[in-house]
Amino acid sequence: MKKFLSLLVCLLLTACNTEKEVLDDITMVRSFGFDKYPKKNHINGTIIYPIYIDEQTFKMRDLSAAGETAKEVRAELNEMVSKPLFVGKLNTVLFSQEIAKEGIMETLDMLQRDPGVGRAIYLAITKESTKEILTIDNNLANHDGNFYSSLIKQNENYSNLPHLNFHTFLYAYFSDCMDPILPYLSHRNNSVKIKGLALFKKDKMVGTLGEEDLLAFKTLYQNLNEGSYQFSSQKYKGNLEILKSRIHYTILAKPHHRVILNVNVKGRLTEYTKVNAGKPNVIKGIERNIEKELNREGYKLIGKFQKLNIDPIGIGEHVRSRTRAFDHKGWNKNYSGLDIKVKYQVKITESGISQ
Amino acid sequence: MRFFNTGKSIKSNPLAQENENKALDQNILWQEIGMSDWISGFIESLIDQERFNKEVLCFIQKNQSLKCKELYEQLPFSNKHYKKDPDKQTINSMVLQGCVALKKRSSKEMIFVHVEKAPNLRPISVPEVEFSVIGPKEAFNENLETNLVLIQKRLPTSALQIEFIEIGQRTKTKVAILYLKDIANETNVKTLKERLAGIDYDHILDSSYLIQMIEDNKMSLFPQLIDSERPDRIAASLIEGKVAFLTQGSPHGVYGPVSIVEFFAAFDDYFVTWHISSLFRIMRMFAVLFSIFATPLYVSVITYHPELIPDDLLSTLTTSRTDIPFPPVLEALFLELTIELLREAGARLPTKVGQTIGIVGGIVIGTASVQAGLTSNVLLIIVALSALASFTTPVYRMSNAIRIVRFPMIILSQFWGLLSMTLGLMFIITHLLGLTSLNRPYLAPIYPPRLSDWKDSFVRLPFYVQKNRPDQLKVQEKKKISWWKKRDIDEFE
Amino acid sequence: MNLNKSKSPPFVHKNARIAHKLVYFLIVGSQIGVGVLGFVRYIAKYVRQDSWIIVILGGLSIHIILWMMFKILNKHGGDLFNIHHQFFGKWLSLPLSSLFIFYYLVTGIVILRTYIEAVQNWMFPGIPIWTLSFFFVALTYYIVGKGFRVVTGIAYFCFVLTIWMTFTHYFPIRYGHFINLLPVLDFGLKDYFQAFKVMVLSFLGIEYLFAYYPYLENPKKAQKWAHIGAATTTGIYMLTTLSTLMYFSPKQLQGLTWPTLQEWKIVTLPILERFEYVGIAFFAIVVLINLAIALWTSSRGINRIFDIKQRIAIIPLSILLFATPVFFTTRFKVDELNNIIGKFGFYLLYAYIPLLFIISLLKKGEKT
Repeated sequence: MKKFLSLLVCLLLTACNTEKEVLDDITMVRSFGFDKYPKKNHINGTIIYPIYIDEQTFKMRDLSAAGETAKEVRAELNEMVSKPLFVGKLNTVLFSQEIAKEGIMETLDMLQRDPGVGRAIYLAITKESTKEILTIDNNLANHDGNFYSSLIKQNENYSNLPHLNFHTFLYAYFSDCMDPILPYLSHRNNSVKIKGLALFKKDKMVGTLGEEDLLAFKTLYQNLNEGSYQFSSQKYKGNLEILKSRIHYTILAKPHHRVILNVNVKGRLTEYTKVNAGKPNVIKGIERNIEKELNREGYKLIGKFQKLNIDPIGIGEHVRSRTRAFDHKGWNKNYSGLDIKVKYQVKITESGISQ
Repeated sequence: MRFFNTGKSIKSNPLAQENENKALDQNILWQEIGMSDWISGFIESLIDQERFNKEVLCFIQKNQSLKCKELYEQLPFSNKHYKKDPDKQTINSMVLQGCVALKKRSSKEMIFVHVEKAPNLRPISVPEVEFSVIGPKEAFNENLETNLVLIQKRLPTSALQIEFIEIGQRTKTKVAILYLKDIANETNVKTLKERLAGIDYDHILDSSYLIQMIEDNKMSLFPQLIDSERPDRIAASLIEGKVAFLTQGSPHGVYGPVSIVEFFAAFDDYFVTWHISSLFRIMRMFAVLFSIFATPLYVSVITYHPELIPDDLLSTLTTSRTDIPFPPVLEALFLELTIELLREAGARLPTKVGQTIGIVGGIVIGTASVQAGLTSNVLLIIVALSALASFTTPVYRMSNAIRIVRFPMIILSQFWGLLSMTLGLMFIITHLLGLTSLNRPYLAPIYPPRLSDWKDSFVRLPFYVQKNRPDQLKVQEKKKISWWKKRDIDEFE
Repeated sequence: MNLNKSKSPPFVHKNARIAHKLVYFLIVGSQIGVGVLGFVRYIAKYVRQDSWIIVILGGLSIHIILWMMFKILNKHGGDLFNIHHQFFGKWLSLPLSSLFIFYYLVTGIVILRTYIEAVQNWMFPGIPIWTLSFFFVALTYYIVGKGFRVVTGIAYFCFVLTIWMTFTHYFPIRYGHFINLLPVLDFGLKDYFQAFKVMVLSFLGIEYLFAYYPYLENPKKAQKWAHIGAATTTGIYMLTTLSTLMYFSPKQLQGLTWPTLQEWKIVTLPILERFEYVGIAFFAIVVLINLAIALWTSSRGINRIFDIKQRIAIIPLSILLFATPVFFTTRFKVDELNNIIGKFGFYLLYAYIPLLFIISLLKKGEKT
C-alpha cells in the first residue's frame, strides 16, 4: 500500500508539471500589428514587447515577421525570441488600411480562439502601415506598452470616440443587421493621432469617418455622458460640452417602413463668442441652431451609410427588436432606400462659470 | 487549603502504586520526639520545620501522656486527620502532601497534621502573551490554589463547581475542573471529565499536555481548545457556559467547547467600544486570510496567470521579478523560511536579544537578498506582511497553525495555480467542518449557520444586543440579560 | 448482503441529521453545476431572445416536481429505496433502485468531465485528465467520508464562496444591449418545447432529495426552504441568461462554448483583470459539491439496497468516478454524455416522478 501510494504521488508530481507562464520567462506581447506583405497572400506581423534594461526600466522592442496566416506569423516570431510569445496581456491589435480592405476576420480568428486573449482589448485601423506606427520611437510615452490602449481608452471616456473594443467588433460582426467600426489612427509628428473611424462591411473596411463627424456619430451610436461639440454660424461660434445624450428610436411601419432616431442632448456652453448667452432667448436660439446643424450632420451620416450599404449604428437591430417575425434578409436588401430621419433635441443647462 | 480535602484520584494504576510504595518509604524521615513515646514521620523538604517545632512538638511535649485519639482531638489544628490503621500507601500519600505523621510507638493509630511549607512561588504578574492595554492585568501563576482564588474572586457564586482529579501516575498532577452548575451543559462537563479521567500517562507537566491529549482530533493542526493566562478570560468563558480546567504547575487555564472564531477574539475586545473591537476583529480575519493566501496567490499568478495582473501593475511586478534566478515558488519558500527562521531564533533568545535579532535579521537579510537578486522586493513585502498578519491572531496556538498552513498552500499553488489553490482551500474547509471541540461543531456560528451567535464572532456588538448565550454550547440558562428596555422618545423614568 | 434492508424506513441518528433550513444549500448546490457556464447557448439555439421565459417556465415546473416529491416522501416516509420497495416489491424495486444509483453516479461523472473539459480549454491545455480527476475524487472521498453533515457544510460553503460571482454579471449587463431581449414571444410552440427540454439538464439535482430526505431534522418544514432554494437557482439562471443574451449577438453566442467564461473576460477591476481564470478556479468548488452529493447519494443507495457499509461502498464508487472521465477523450463524447444524461433526467423528472406521485395517491401512507 505504501509503495503504491508513493508511486502515485511521484506520478502525480510529474503529471502536475503543466506548462508554466512565469511572468519573467515570457515575451509579453503588448501590441500586435498586421500589414500587407509584398509577396502574394502574405501578411506581415509586428509585435512590440518590453525588454528589461536595468532595475526599474523597460524599453519596448519591436519585431516583424511575415507569413501566410496569422498563426504562421506568430510561429515565425516565436522563432525570433528567446522566451516564448505570450499574448495574454495583449492590449492593442492594429491593422493597416490596406489589409483591412481585404478583410481582417481571418487574422482575428486566431486571436478569438486563443483563450488567453481578452475581449476588452482595443482594435484599430492605421492609415500607414502598422509597422511604421509601432516602430515610432516613443519610448518615453510607451515605456510600459500601454500607450495605444490608453490613447483609445482615454478618448472613449473623455472625448468623442465611441466605445469600441474587440468584443464590440465581434458583436457587430456576428450580428445580422449591424456592421463593425474601429478607430482609425494615423502617424503625425512622431506620434499617433486618432483620425476618426474606419467603417466596415462585415470584416472589410469600406470607408472612413472624419474626426469632425465623431460626435454626431457617437450620439447616434450610444448613450453618453461626456463629449464636446464645436458649432459655428456667421454670427457666433462656440463649444458645447455634452453632459448627457440619450437616443431612442421611433419606428413607423405604416404606410411604409420609416425610422426616426431621436436624440436628446443636454449640455453646457463652455466657450462662445460674439453673443450674450445670459439671455434666455439667445440660448433658445443657440439651441435651435445646434439642433439644425446636428440634424444636418446626422442626415449626412445616415446618407453616407446607406450609400455604402452599411449599418454601423445598428438601426436594423432596433427595428428587429420591435418587429415580430423580422426578415433580416429583406431588411438588408431594402436598407439603402429606407426613410431614416434624425431628430435632435438640444438643451443647454448652463453657460459656463462666467457670464 | 480547604479545597484539597475533596481531592480524590478517580483512577489509579495498581502496578505503579506498588513501585511507589517501595521507593518512597525510604524518603520518609522517622524521628522520635524528645523523650516521649511518640514518633513523627515527614519529608524534611516538604514541611515547615519552624512551625513543626513550635506548634506540634511543643504541644506533644506538653501532652505526652494523652492517647492518640485524645491528642488528635486536642491538637490545635484545623487541617488534621486521624486514621486508625493506615496502610503504607495512605501514609505515603499523606506525607507526600506535606503532612507530618504522628503515632505512638505502641499503637497503630496515626495522626496527620498539615504543616507544609508555603512554597516560594512566582507572584501574580502581568499577562505577557495576552497583554491588554485596558482591563485587568493579572495573570495565572504556577500554583493551582492561587489560580483558583483568582477565579473564585471573580465568581463569588455557589454555582461555581470545582472538582479535582489527579492525572499522571508519577507526577500526580492535580487538575481542577470548573463550571457553573446552573449554566453549563452537563454533557459538555461529562465529556471533559471523562476525557481527563481517561488519560493514562506518567507525567503531566503543563496544561498543554492535557490539551493535546483530550482534543477531539489529535491529528489536526488546528487547536480545538483555548488556553489562556488571563483569569478574567477563564471566568468569562465559565459564565458563557463553558467548562474550564486548571492544572497544578501550569500558568494557563484551558476552556472549551470553543469555535474557530473565538481564536481570533482578543479578550480586550470586550474592554473597548464595540465599534472598535468589531473593526479589529474583522481586520484580524482578513489578516488571517491574507497571511494564508497572499504568498500562494503571488506564486500562482506569477507562475500561471500573468493575464490577471492589471496593466498598470504589470511593469512594477515584471521589473521586480526580472533577474531573479529561481522560479517563484522557490523564491517564496526561501523567503518564508527565512522569516520563520528569524521568528524561531527570536523566540529562543532572551527578550532583548531576540528583538535585536528580529530587527537586524529582518532588515539586513531582507534588503540583502533583494539586492543580491535572490528575491523580488514585491514578494518581500508580501511575505513580510503576511508574517505580520499571522501575528495578529490573539491565541498563540492558532497563529502557529496559520503559519504552517501557508506552506502546503504555496506548494499547491505551484501545481495548477489558482485551481489547485481552490482545491486546497476546500480541503481546509472540509477538515474544519469535520472538527469538533468537546463534540460541539468547531466552525459553529459559520456552519451550522447560527445567526444569533454572529453577534459575538466576526464582530462584537454592544453588550445589550447580546441577550443570549451562544447556541453552540446548548446551555441550561440561555438569557444573559433581562434589564434592557428601549426608551421611547421623550420618555423618562 | 441483505436485500431486504430497504423494506424498512431508514433510521438516521439524530446527530447525523441536519437542520431543515440547510436543505436550501443542498438544493442550490446540487442544481447549479458547470452547466451554468454554458446552458444559455443551448436554449438560445431554439428561442433566442425568449430564453429567459424558458428559464422561468423551467423554474416553475421544478417547483411542481419538488412539491410532488415532498408529497410522496412525506406520505410514505423514508427515502426513494424504501418507496420503491413499498410500491413495486422486493424484486422489481431492485433494478429500479440500482438504476437510480447508477444515475446518481453518472451525474457526478458528467459534471467532472465537463469541468475538466473547461479547464483543458481555458487554463491548462495539456493537463492530463486523470490528474485533475484524481485530485477532485480524492477530495470528494475525504468529504463524503466525513458524513452527511460535512457534505451539507460543503454545500453551504459552496454557496457562500461562489454567490458573489453572480455580481460579475453587472459588467456584461452594463455593456449589453437591452434590445437583444425584444421582441418577446416570437417563436413557435415547438421551439419553446425543444428549448425547455434542453433547459431541464441545468435544473437537474433536486432528485438527490429522494436519498437525503431522511436526514432532514424536520422534513415538513424543510419543504419551504427547498422551494426557496429552487427559486434561488432560477434567479441565478435568470440573471445569467439575461446578461448573456444582452451581451452577445445571437450568432456570436452560437459560436461560443462557454458564454459565461467569455463574459468574464470583460470584468476589469483595479486589482484584477481577466476574471475568467478566477471564475474557472472557483467553479472547482461548485463541481466539488456536485461530486460530493453524487458520491454520497450513490453510496447511500448501495448501503440501503444491498446493506453494504457506506464506508466500503464509496471506495469502488470513487474509483469509478475517478476512472470513467478518462475514457471520454473528445469534446464530442462529452457532449454526447451530457445529452444522454439530460434526456434521462428529463424523463426522470417529468415522467417518472409524476408516475410515482400518482401511485402514491392510490396507495395508503406508511405510519411513521
